[in-house]
Formats: sequence, structure tokens, C-alpha cells
Amino acid sequence: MATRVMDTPKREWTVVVPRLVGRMLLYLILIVFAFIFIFPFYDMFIGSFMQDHELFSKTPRLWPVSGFDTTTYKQLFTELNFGQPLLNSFYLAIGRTVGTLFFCALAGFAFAKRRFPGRDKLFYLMLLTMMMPSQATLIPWYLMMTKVLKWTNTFWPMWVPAWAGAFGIFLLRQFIATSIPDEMLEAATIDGCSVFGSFIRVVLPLITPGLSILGILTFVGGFNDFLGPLLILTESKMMTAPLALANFKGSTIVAPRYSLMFAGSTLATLPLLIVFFAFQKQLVSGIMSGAIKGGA
Amino acid sequence: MSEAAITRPSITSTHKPLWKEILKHWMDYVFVAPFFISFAVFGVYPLIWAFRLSFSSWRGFGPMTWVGLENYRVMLKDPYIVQSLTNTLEFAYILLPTGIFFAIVFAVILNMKTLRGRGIFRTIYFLPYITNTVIIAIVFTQLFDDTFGWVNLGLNSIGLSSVKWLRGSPWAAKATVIMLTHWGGIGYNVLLFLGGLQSIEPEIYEAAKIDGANEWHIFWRITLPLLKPIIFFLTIMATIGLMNMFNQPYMLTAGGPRGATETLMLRLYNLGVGGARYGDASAFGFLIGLLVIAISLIQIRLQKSWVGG
Repeated sequence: MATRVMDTPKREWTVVVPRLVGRMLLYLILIVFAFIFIFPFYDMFIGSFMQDHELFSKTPRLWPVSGFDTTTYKQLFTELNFGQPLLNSFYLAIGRTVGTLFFCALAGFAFAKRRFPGRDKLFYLMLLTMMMPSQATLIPWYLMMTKVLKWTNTFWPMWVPAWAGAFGIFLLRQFIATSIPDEMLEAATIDGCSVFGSFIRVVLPLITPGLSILGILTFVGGFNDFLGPLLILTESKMMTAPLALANFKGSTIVAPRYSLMFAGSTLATLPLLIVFFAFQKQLVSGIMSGAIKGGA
Repeated sequence: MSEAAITRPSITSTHKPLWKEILKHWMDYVFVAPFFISFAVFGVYPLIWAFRLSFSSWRGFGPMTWVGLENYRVMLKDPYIVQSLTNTLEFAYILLPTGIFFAIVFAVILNMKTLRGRGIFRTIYFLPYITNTVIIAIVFTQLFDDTFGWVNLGLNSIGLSSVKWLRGSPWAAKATVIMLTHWGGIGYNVLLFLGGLQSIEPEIYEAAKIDGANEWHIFWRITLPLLKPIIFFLTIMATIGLMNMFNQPYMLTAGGPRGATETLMLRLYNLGVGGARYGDASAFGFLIGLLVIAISLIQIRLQKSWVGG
């Protein structure tokens, strides 16, 4: 593409016109797909302000005809107490994120910068466990949580096993190994910093980009976690937002009400959209650079 | 020879014994311990337990009775299991190549330096990735509704007849699950490939152009080979993910119509959690687990001959 500047002197129609048409075609494809990716969000958002007979009519509309109807939102909070599931999802996601950042950074630091017998063997053992298929452990995991540890209706099953995850440790190890020079840690030791002290004062502040990537991924994953809560949480006061929404849909006593589900979905999507747009740069560049590390 | 025998112990004697070395570094072991403890407690222990369970009959209470290989025999003969396996493999071998193909196409387009609005398109394509599958499924249920959905309305408006997407025909339900999965996940793959494209040195392209290669040749001879490691990485990760497919069919079709979208995970869930057939479900889990490991190992083997190490 860059070389085009060189051959611009020859502005012949046979060159310019196909190029222009090609470019227009590219934009057309991109816009059509952008529409496909955006439309469901729009449908959800605008549908949350409609009444069900407007949503399900032979002539569906792209705009609420009878004005923006917020009764579903009010109903969601008063009758259905949807605020509780939303808060629970936040609580689940934050609890998982805080623990994950702490334990993964600590192990990532040890694997990246400390020298101890068996370090590399332990690291490869950890990577190997990532290959373990979760299908084999789903039922025993469920039985362990509910029958052995009796953690039914608590968030522990969604927190504790996730905290020291192999993926997070691997990600932060890469960040620490590439962004912190050994001399810096040696200097901290000479200045009288303990191992843990240099971890807190030197390592953590320098790997904030890595921490924010892992933090967002963990937060989004925790907020969206479905299978875990589906297996563990049965009480209505423990419901998470995805679980409550799935129950709205699966309810057989009352016919599923789409305006209600759309309103709930909008509320449950909004926090993640805010987080996404706030950290977009780190997240996008993190995934893009992660490809190089993971792939090569 | 005798000298070597003498010098050898003297070298090791300058080292501290291993246990002293380990004791000195106790703190490092504490740092990495949480992973190994949590893996032992939540990974290995349940696995051993499940292994025993897979040879027993147990419904969650009362004593476990030893049944030998009976559970495995029942599971291998279960027609639903065969169906859920073929469904899952079908999803995987349609989703995997098409997902990689579309992601590379989009990544190459979005990597063009002269294209305006690249960042906006990149963001829009990635947006579904952070959205909950449950929510995506709710919205798709309405979009693909037989009589009131936008998709059928769109088909009608261009003169095509409506399709019973979710509750009518097996192929349409499969297609809907595939579209939903692509819609939610393709943005992530695009980002992976964009990262790969941007790591290719521009000098390589310039050299190829000086040698007279056209864009098409450059893509096939330079870009694609350099993306091989990412394609491989994605293939392994996506295979494991697709063999785990649960949320999409659970929410969208509940495995129907007539079991057309029942996946291995959904069958496992229905057996174990829904039916409390813990012995059967454990045996089934082991069978799927072995299958996934076998597939991953074959893929790694193939990669060695394809990417070259």
C-alpha cells in the first residue's frame, strides 16, 4: 500500500477507476458487517423501551411508536428486584478480579524473576494443566463444591479456583520478564527491600498495563460467568444477572416477556460496555500483543 | 579417569544440598503454591474421585455400588451421546475453518494503512466478545423468531420464504447456533490476526515488491506463512473451547429441535446435574476428556510437520 505514492504520477483511468471501485466495495463489506454486529445491540436497547405487542407484531418497528416506555425498567427493579442480581454480578466479578490479580502477580513474579530449584519444571507443569479438558472435571467439580465443601449458594466456587489461574500467571510472568530489568530488583534488595517488599514497591507499579489487561478479562469473565452460577447458586437472593435473565427466559409459568428481558440485558451489558470503552486501548493492544507471545 | 572420579564430588560439595537450597527459597515456593494447591484441590482430587465414581453407580446419596465398566458400556451405546458427539464435531469443523478464514480476511482489510475508520470498525467487530452469551441468545431468539423476527422479515422482503430457525428444522437451528457463535467470537480472532499482521516487518513486503511480487502473491507467500503460528495457536484453543460449547445451545435451543444442537457439554450437564446420574456422567466426562486430549495431541503433531516445530 505504501508504494502507491510512488506510482501516482501515472493517473490513468484504467488504474484509478478499478481502485476506487475496489475501495468502495471494501467499505460496503465493512459497513454491512458493522451493521450486523451493531444491530442486535440496537434491537436490545430500543426493544427495552417498547411494549411486547410492539416487539412481536407483523410489522416490527425500529422506533417505539408510543414513546419511550420505561415501565419495564421500573417493573424490573420493583417487582423483580433485578438490582440484587446486578449487584451480585459485580460482587462476583470484583471478588474474582482482586484475588486473581494478587495471586497471579505473585506467582508470575516468582516464575519470572526468582531463581529456585525446580522453577522451570513447575512452570511447564503449570502450562500442561491448561490442556486438561474441563469436561472430565465438570461433574466432580460440581459434586466437590456442593457435597464435599458445601459451598452451595456462596460465591467461593466462582472465586477460589479462579484466583491462581494458569492463564493469568502465564500472562503476568511474560509481562514481568519483559518489562522489569533484573538490576532494578537487585538495587531494591541492596536498598534493604525484602522479597515481598520489592514485589509490592517495584514490580506491581511497573506492570500496571499487564494488570489492567488481566483485570478486565477477569472482570468481564466473572460478570458473564454462567455455568458456575447455574450449578452453584439456587437461592434467588444469590442470583447473578445472567442467571436471572436466563430464568426470565426459561420461566414456563409466565410467558417470556421480551421487553423485560431486553431491559435486563441492557442493564447487564452497560457496565461491561463502560469498562470496555474505558480500557479499550489496553485491552485491544493486550490481545494483539498476546497473540505474538502466545503464538510464537 | 581416576582424576575425574576425584574431581566430581568436589564440584557437588561446593553446592549446598538440595533441601537447604529449597529451604532458603521457601518464600518463592509460597508465591507459586496457590496455583498448585488449587489445582490439586479443585482439579486432581475431584478427578480421582470421579475416576472411582465412573466405575460406580451413585445418585448423590446412599452408598456407592461398584459396577465395573458398566457405565462406560452404557455411555458408548447411548444414541444421544453419539448424536451429541457428531453435533459437537460438526459445530467444530464448520466453525473453526470459517472462523479463521473470516478473521484473516477482516484482519487483512483492517490492517490497510490507507483505510479510514479502521479503529471504529475494529471496535464494533470486537464489541460482541464482551457481551454475555445469555444476553446474545435472548436477542437472537427474538431476531430469529419464526413469525416476528427481523431475519425472516428480511428474507421475506427480498422474496424468500421464512425459515423456522429455532424450533423447526435441525439444520436451521444448527445454522443459528453457528451464526451466534461467530457473531460473538470473531472479533477476538480478528484482533489476534491484526496483532500478527502488525508484527510483520514492513521491509519484508518492500523487498517482495521490489522483486516484482503482486499483492496476491505477497499474501500467499509471505503474510499467510507468517500467520501460521497464530492459526495454530487459535486452532488448539478454539478446539478446546468448541468441545466445551454449552451456553449457546443451552440458551438458544436447549439442544433441540430433536437433539440437533445437543452438544457434549449439554448432554453431560443433563446427565449429571439434571438427571443425577453421577456415575454415568463421570464415565462420559472421562470419555470426552480423553477425546479432547487425543485431538489436541494430533493437532500438535500436525503442527510440527506444517509449521515446522
